Amino acid sequence: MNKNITFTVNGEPVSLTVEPRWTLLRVLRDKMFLTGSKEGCGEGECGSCTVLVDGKPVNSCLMLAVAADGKTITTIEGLSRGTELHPLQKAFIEKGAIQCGFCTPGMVMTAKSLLDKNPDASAEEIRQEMAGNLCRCTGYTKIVEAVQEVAGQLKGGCHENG
Amino acid sequence: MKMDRGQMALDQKQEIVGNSVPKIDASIKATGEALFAADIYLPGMLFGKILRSKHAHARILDIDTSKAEKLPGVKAVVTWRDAPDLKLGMYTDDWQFFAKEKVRYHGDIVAAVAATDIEIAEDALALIEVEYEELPGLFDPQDSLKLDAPLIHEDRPGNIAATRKIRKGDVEKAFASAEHIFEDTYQTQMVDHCPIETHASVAQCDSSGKTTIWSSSNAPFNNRFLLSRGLQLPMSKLKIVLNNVGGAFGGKQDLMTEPSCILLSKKSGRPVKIVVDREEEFTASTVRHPFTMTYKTAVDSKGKILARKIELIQDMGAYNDLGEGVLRYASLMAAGPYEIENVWLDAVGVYTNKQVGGVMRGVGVPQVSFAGESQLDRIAEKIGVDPYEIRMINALEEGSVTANGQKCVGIGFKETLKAAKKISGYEWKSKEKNRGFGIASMVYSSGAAGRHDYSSAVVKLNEDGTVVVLTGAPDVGQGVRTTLAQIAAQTLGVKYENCWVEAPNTDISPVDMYGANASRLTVVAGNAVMSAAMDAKRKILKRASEKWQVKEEDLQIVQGEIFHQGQSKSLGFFKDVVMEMHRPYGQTTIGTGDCITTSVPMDPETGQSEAVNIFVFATHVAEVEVDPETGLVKVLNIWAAHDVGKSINPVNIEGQIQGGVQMGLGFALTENIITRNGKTLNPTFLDCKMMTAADMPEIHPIIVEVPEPKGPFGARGVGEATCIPTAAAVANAVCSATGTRINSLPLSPEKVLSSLKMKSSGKKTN
Ligand code: FES
Ligand code: FES
Repeated sequence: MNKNITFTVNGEPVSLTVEPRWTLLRVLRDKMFLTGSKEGCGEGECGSCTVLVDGKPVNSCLMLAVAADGKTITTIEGLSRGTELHPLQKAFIEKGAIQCGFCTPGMVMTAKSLLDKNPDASAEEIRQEMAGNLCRCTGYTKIVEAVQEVAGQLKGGCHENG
Repeated sequence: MKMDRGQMALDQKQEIVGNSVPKIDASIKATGEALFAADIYLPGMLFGKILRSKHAHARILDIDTSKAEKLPGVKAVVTWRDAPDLKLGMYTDDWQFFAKEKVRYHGDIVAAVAATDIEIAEDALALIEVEYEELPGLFDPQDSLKLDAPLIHEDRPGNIAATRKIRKGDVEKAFASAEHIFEDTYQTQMVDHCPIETHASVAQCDSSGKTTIWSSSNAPFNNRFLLSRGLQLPMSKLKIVLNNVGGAFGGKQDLMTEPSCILLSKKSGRPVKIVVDREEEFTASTVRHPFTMTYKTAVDSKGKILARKIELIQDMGAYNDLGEGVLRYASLMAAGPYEIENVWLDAVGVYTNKQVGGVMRGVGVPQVSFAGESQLDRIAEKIGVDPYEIRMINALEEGSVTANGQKCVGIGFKETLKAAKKISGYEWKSKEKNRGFGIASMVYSSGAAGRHDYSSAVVKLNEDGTVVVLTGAPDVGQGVRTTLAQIAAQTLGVKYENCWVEAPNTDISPVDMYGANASRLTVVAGNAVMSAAMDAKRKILKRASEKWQVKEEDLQIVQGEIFHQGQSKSLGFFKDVVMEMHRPYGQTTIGTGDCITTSVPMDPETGQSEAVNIFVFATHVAEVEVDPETGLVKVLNIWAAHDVGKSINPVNIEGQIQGGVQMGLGFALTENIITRNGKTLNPTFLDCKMMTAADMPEIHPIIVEVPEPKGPFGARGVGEATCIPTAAAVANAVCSATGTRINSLPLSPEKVLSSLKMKSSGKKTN
């Protein structure tokens, strides 16, 4: 049975009819054309589909769309404000943490939730928390450096965005 | 004091090449705006799924698609009947887009469906009825080589797909008088490229017969060549467009989705998208060929290698595809980066009913590097020479002659050895129990080896003096568009920010033959772009010399301004001269350039030829700790020294090294596609595990720069070399930590534990 759901995506209220077997990722990509969230495995093993649901990182390929009813979702598209990028996005660019970029949206979302929770996360904590996000290109070094850089900024109190 | 702007430009004459400028496409990738093939949504677009074989080897008796066609929402079903009835391949015509009489592995495509929703397409697959007659399967090359083995391809006697030989000197004579002879057999496993983006394409065939394909390919011109042949379409009707590609590592030119997509679009009259899922990626995309390698090596008491006799058996899988090229590379590099007077090699690629091997980062060389470098360590240990020293003693250097009879020019191998040793603090004998260092080196080629390789480029100057570079070079994440923008900017004398490198579109871009392969783009596409930029620059300087009545050769362009030699005040802006070409002359300034390499095919009997375009060298040092209770190998550090010739973008190169080492470590420790009777048993990231952020050790990139005479600004390609020596370095470190040597990959805890047990019970472990 199809179901109507209402949720907030990147600050906008959205209502739509979904099939019970659709995942949140399927709805974000195929129905709302928010293609920043990627499908690397569809099985909860790569993290490229990571979005924030009520502030918590979720593999949107595993979450059924019906379960998103009433929730607040943030995707990569909701992170930058116009052309003003989030500090994490800036750090990823500056540190050379982006190669093919397919894992990047998921990485950035996981990193955001991590720093929201633990603003001065250590390199080791970053590595542990981000172990669910696979990257085949970078070897992770520069990704960890980018997240650390922002963690450093947060600690220094010069961070105000997102 | 007011500064003169022209003087400032000259003072700041910043070198763009050698600078870690941010990548051309980094910001759109950070925001999620970057479109990958699967992100394309077109009006009326259908979603496709592919039906693959149920058996490893079977005759197809009948394919009945009628039930699937009747399912509401299904708009087209295609089989071999919808495609021209012919076989094709890069080296051998042994493959058909859709299986007709036979399936030869589980990944063979039997049919494809397009429907209004992906779920309907999935349901429709289950309604296709295929009648098979199972045939005996061959899953081990040794079985395929038996005289009474069934044939996988009826026209390929002995199930032999390819062979390769090297004959240099007289190995038997050297063995007869040698002080020490070692003989060992090594094995490597099947692994997948595992790009995080799976293969995907969208095809749109319109009523004029024009077909446009948005693809995740890493070699669009290669693909166009095969699609044009296989679908009997003129190239003018086939446009392949690349946006962003989510990693390839050599694996995304295998036309996994494109033929199905095109035929479904043609049949339905609507655009069709196919995105393979992770399981399909693991089971049906190409893989790194498993190799069995026997090395017999003679040395004198000081460690000088006198002879190497090598036999390679490559598990080709069901089709040749690019396997013959992999065998060629493995053969060329099998003797290692050493000068050896006597080398004998016989290599054979053998069909099996398994996943098809393709090119994967390093193209057969990670396999032979594991064998050759493991054995060299064993030899060093036995004769009491430091493994570092044995490498220095035998290292190829200026003027050395390789196994294929090629003279080395402008190489920096010893520099990588020295740098890796010095910076890592490498020690031969471990001071701590269960801890140790391992060293391993490699030689590779930048630019396709043993084949003509070429690329062309166009540099187009816009009216405002900004620059567009057209190239067929695909950026799969390695950053080639950034590299090419740096080369164009530096050559022209304009700012990096003013250079745009357009992603390939086969209708617009000039041809680039092999795409993101063979660590070739920095050199081959880079030289083409450099020569196109020089061509455009000449045109501008000619106009400038007429305008200011000065000699062309006395002019230079710096940061977008034109200077007369010796004067600090600029004559004027580059952009103004570009504009003047437009008005009054009505000319767009276009520079064109090409690069063709000097690589020559290997002699079929002796393997001797100038096959290698540019030699590339690297040395890795690994430091590991082995847990004797669990057999778990923890890699603590990897130092990776690479001779890159000239580092065009140091941060990009560090990233390549760090990523390559991650792949090398997966190959060394965890990645292993397990098959039973040709069926893949572990097609998930959970069961075929790549290294995560938490698993990774510290990686220390060491950039060595010995200029390459044939590379742009002295650069050589580095992408693939980065993953090649890692596994041997780790294996050698494990041996140094525990005293046990394992001759097959991966070095799983089970294997390490059992070899530790064997050692303590006094049995030989090799
Ligand atoms: S796509 Fe969701 S975890 Fe991989
Ligand atoms: S940058 Fe390619 S997967 Fe992470």
